[in-house]
Amino acid sequence: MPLFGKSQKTPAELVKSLKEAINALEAGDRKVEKAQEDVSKNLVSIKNMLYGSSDAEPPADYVVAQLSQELYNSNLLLLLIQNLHRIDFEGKKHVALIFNNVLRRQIGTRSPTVEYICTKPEILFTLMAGYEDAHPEIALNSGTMLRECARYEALAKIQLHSDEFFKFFRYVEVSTFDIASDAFSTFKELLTRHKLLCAEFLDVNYDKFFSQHYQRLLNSENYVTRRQSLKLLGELLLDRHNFTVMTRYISEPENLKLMMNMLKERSRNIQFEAFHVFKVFVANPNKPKPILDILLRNQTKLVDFLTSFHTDRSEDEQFNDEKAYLIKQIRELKPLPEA
Amino acid sequence: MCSNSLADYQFTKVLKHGRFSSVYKANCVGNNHSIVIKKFPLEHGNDAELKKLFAEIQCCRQFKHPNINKILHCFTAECDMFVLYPYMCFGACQILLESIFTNGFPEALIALLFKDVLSALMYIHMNDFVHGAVKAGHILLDNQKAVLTNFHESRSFIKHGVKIPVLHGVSQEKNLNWAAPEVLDQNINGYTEKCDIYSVGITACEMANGIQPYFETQPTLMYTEKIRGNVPSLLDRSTYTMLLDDQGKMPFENSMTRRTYEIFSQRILSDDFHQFVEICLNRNAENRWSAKKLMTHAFFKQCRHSTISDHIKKCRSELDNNSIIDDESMGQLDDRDVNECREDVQWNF
Amino acid sequence: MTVTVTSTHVMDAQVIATHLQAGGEQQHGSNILVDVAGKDVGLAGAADDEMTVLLTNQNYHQEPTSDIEEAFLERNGNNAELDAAAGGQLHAELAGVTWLDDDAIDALDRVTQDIGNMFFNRVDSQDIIYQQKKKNIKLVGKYVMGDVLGEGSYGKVKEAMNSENLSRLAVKILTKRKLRRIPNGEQNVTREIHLLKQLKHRNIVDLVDVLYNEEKQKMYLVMEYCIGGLQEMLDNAPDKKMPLYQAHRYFQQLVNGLEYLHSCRVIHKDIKPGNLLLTLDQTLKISDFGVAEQLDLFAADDACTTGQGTPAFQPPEIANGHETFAGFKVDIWSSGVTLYNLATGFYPFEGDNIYRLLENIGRSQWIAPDWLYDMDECFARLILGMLQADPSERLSLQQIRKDTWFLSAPAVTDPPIPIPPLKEKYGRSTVLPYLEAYHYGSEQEQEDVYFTEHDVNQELARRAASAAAEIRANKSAAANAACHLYEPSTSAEAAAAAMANGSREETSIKKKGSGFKRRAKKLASCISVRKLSHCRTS
Repeated sequence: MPLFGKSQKTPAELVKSLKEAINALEAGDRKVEKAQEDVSKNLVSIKNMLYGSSDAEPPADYVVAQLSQELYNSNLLLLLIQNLHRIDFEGKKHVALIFNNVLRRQIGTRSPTVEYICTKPEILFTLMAGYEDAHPEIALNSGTMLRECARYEALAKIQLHSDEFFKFFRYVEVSTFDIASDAFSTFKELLTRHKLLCAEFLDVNYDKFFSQHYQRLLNSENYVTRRQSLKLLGELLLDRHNFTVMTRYISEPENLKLMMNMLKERSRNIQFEAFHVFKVFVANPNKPKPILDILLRNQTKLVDFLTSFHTDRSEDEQFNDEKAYLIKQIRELKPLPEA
Repeated sequence: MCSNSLADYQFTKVLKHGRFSSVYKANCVGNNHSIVIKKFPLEHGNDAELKKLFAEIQCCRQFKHPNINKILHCFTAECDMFVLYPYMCFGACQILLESIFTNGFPEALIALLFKDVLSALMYIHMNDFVHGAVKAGHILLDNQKAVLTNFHESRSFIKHGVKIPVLHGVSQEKNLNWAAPEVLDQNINGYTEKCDIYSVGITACEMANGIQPYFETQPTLMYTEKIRGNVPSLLDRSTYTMLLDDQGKMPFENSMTRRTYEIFSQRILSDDFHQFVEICLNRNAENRWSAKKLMTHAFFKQCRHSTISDHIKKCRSELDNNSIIDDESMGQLDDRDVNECREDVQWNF
Repeated sequence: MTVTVTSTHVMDAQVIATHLQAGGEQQHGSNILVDVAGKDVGLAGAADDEMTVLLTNQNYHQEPTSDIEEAFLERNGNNAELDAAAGGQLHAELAGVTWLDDDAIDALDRVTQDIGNMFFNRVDSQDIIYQQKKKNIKLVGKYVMGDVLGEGSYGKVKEAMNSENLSRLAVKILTKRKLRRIPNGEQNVTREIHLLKQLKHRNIVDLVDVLYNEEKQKMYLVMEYCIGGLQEMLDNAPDKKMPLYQAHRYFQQLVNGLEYLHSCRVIHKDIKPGNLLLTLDQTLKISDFGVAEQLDLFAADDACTTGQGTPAFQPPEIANGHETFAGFKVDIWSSGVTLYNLATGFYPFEGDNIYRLLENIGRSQWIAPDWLYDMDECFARLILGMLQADPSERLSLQQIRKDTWFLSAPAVTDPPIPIPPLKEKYGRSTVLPYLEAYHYGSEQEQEDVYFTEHDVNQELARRAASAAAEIRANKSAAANAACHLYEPSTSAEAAAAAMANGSREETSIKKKGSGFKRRAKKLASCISVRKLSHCRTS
């Protein structure tokens, strides 16, 4: 009895025929339609081999092992990703599924696919470029794969430390909303998952990240961008792993001004998120003079403002405690003694 | 149709005002092609709700099937998000149940619609997703076909490159009457894509009887009933006796229900239809047929004899009378939201 | 003469006391019940799962009656019929009885520890009669209460269900009285609530709602439902341990949860298998933040001064009574002890009593036994790293993430140990019987089920035997089986069981027959606004 079913190919055969089909697709000669068909068929077979299907049992471990091995040996992963825009709609999804499955593969403590991608970082850069306007149809699938990669520190590191990373500041604001939103999820994942990696990145790239780029997001015309980036800012600053970055951020008067302006924004949600960043400035027991000066200059206004701020949130005990604390702190603010 | 500017759209009619969204009929300025625009005031949503909304859109984008509602475009303007869909002229089946088919859709039309719905479900299940909210309100109709919509309850079996055999999430739907017993059960066994098939069965009863099963029943009673294996059924001459109470009398007072009762006690729904519903509503999920297999059930033989437009034509006149005239005064949507902008406060920097 | 009988039976039965009564407060006064529509349905005998015993022993002063029904009195007198049947005499006799309240019980407890003062009357198991407790629905706010899931010094945890969205939940019931008896009890609860409200992570138990009952001085913490916990799993496992790969899976989730906690400046301080729960889909949830501490936002380091955790899991710095210590490293230590315990069934430190235990912990650096290295060398090294006596030498969470064993995928060897056998076969909500009683069961008021202690013993023996047989049968089942039930979930079996489950409950109601009265507001089945009942039984 044939090992892989009557008409089924072996992993090696599948990979080989897929590779041929992709190459044909890439070449773009007359047989494009047939090539597309072949690509789709093979992708389905590989996907079913990895995930099982309603018609078949989930595959044996060694089958998966063989398949994964073939996939890196043949550089098919890179090929698939570079040609994602040429593959049909369903095929693109299958590529992502195959990629995400093979990524998980582990032998002992080693993650062979992760190691493979480390040697071929262009895979990551090609995926990141999936958010570019040129090919909107590959954005979402690229995003899925990028986020899976981001779960592995080695790959997150490559993404974070690349020049391409700063393009995310543009990607999160593209015109098609769901692409922008997907880009933001990836962006957030890269900045929050691996604590030490993120903290170090933010520390080392502080000026570029915050002053040059993040500031722009907070000031964006796009409501969703403002709201999401403000919330992320709050999460970043309040994560203890980012303590150094936080203390630096809250000692800069420009940041305080921005937060104070966002407190009086039209959107209630943005006001509320701004509150959670603003409170850190006030709670700082070691406020530098410029910060203190701004607070003192607006002492009365702030107290009045805060007293009537979101008074309808009566059920939120924590918020009301924090608000009361801030009001008290501001009331009792005194200028630093003269040196 | 890919413009991100509100000014490029002409809003012609309000279709629905919901808690979290409003639905409008519109067309692009310049052509008369009708579309549907769903407006979400994002300010009204907390972070969790927003996250769910964005996930629904992502999910919808993954499906490409003639019987699944398609997102044409999606953009934000100020605090609102606008999602564009094709215009399905007859709207949701639930609306039709309330207006035209108050005693239920004709069986042949149900067969035609369900063929489309099952086709959509087959595709969704093949993609390792569960729809999670199949009901008449989420089936849209036009002259040619039915489409399945509303993916806010959909879930995938594939997480991070691994396929899990069952799901355990609890449904967030406000109305759980269509939910399968194994979903409500929340036990160790979890549920599979067969929960959609059960919902198809409930929807069949809803569309045949004119009203959803368990309507105005306490959720806890509905839950208890389902867990114990009680199932709703199609009401016709063969089954109407269960409407009678212990003494064999009709337990209603008003003339409306009396008339409905009379209609039900006279009509005959095919055996195939009854069997179809029984298969869908089987207490044990494993015994329910898959969407693919159900499409081959004898119930659908009748689809050969008519088309959706045939049935709609018959009711055309009623529908025309019921549809609202385009509201000319709608014009462009005023997108200025009145929010608490604290213009009065000027910080002293 | 008085008799002390304590119940150790798991079965959900209620036996009526005449003299002794535990947990007195629930019996006094009114238990106001509201139905699901929020209307007060008056008094109800909504007692706890406390057991009380009525003895028909000849030695007891009470006269045994020939008509068995007369001997029993519903504790809260809801059952007027029985009252009448019992006649005035019995009632009059009992009328002079003083019901003990909690403080009196405490006094009694202290007394009973001095065995010389009590003598036990030998009672034959055939003579102890139980009455099946009727399942009266109880609502707290919109939450329908189910059975008790567990108990602690703070109070009970009961299963519950949100009557609107039907989600399963667990409710921690805290009574002011019990909280006052625990040092810092009330403080701990307030802090726990404050923390849980902030924390949102898939590996931290989710607090859904908090309800207060001023009149009864009770607080209800409504949380997400967990099917069981690691401690129960261990207790039920033959070797009190789990396969290494299973411990690995849980440990990974524990690390994720801890990382989140530490990001939020929260130190749990009581990590142990007993505080690690599992949901239906096998997600680990860190629970019980009673002794957790949140550092100040601007704290320069994680220095802490107090430690109130479980002794066996405390690090040397606490055991030795250091004034201050690094907070995060405390959680690392207890996680190390936890991991060791999960995989080996042992504890790294032992002691005859708390003092010896703490002494041992604090004395010197723990050395990993040879057999641990034999079991898995990398695992042993990780444990050693987490159990370094010197906190600065101890691994940090980030170092653990890079550890060899942590990064590896241990081989799946034996089947995983399952969640312990649940009362209800499929782990279905225990709220269901209460709902059934509420929606269908007015006839249950007439029918009472009686059985003797002897019956109970037999049933328990039978269950133990069948459970043991199942364990043996299933040990050879496929290794891929998740931590589910004992029974193989083949479709035929599941189907049969489900149908039996459904129809059994069906017939038990049907049998009541013509005497079945329906409550006015109760619906027969799926009656719509047009009063169409188009539901039938399957």
